[in-house]
Order: sequence, then structure tokens, then C-alpha cells
Amino acid sequence: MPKEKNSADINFNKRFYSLKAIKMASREFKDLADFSVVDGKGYIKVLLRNIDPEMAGAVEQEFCNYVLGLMK
Amino acid sequence: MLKKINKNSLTLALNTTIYPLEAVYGASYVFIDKAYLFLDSNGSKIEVVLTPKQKLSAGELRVLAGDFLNELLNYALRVGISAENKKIRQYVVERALFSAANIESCDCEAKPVEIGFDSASDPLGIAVPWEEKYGQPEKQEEPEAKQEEKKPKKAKSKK
Repeated sequence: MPKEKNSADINFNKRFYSLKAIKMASREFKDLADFSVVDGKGYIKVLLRNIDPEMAGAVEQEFCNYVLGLMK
Repeated sequence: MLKKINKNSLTLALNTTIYPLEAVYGASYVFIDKAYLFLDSNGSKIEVVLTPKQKLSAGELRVLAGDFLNELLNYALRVGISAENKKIRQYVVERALFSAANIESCDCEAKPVEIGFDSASDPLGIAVPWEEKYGQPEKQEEPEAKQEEKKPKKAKSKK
């Protein structure tokens, strides 16, 4: 997970995270950043661009927590 | 177990044979308000990256890791017990649903019983008062006569 302020790439392991949960979370977070989801072989790659500068430090990690919360 | 501690995060490597994935999800969910969690796999092991939302010292991070592992153990036990009791739970639920379905399907509302005649007709004369039916009862003097008979017997018994 790179630490750039206005962009981030997250690789979600398919063993633990489902595409459905990631897409749902992306929809919820759409106001805070631009999301693009790439379905890879073992991982689902989520690209965050133009992250809201006020929330730059937290969006990426809050997004991960949100997806994890949807998995339960 | 505790794999490494970074500046403000720690990584745990968990054995999947000991800790099922359900338990990892459960424990992670408990810590979701205290820390940022990220799951990944490393071979057969599950890697959990815990980043506390507030900055913690190395000692506090170790405490956090310990708490997480305790919660994980708690959930692993729960998952195990849940798997053991699955059949019993299913049986109890099926039984409860079956009973509820039976109650719904039966007609439990009281319906008037058909007895072959109008209830207002009273063919047996049940509603007719005794006096109207058999006349006034005669005065009975028998109880007094019996009392008189009993008195001499009591006197005999005193002697």
C-alpha cells in the first residue's frame, strides 16, 4: 500500500475479500476518492485516485476496514 | 503469532489449522474500531496487519497483539463449539418451526357445534325453572324427627 497522499493502490487477497464487498465499499466511498477495481488472478486491485485531501491519511485504511466489515 | 512490529503497526502470522478463517474475521471485527486491519496470506499462514488508530508505543502494540490473539482464541473456540452443536441446533430450530407450522395450520378458533336443533328451542326443558316444572316443594319434617331420635342415644352413652 503506497503512502502517496492523493492516490493509493490496494491489493485485496481473494482468499479473504470478495469482489462484491469491494464494489459495495467503493460505492460507499465514491465521494472521498475515484475508485477503479481490477480483478486479477489471486488479488483484486483497487486503485484510489484524487483522494479528498482532508481525508488523505485515513481513506485507504478506512476503506480496508469497511471491506473487512462487509466480509463478516 | 507476532511476526514483526513496525513504527505504528504490527504483523501477525496465524496458522490456519489452529485458527479458522471465520475466527480471524470475528476477531478482526471486534478490533475494527480500535485499529485498521488488513488480511493477506503468506503460504499456508494468514497475515494480519494491525495498525492502531491512535499512536501507541511498542509495549502497547504488544498488548494490542495479545488482546487480538486472545480474541482470536475465543472465536476459534466459538467456531469449534458451533460446529459441534450444529446438528442439535438444526434439530431444535426444525422442531420449533414444525410446531409453529402445526399451530398455524390447525383451526383453533371456536366454532358453534351443530347439534341438530335450534339452541333457542330447548327440547329437554333445561331452561324451565324447577318450580314451574314440578311445582312447589313440600315442607319436610324429617330432619327434626331425626334430631329427636339422636338425643336419647347421647344420654345413654353418658351413663
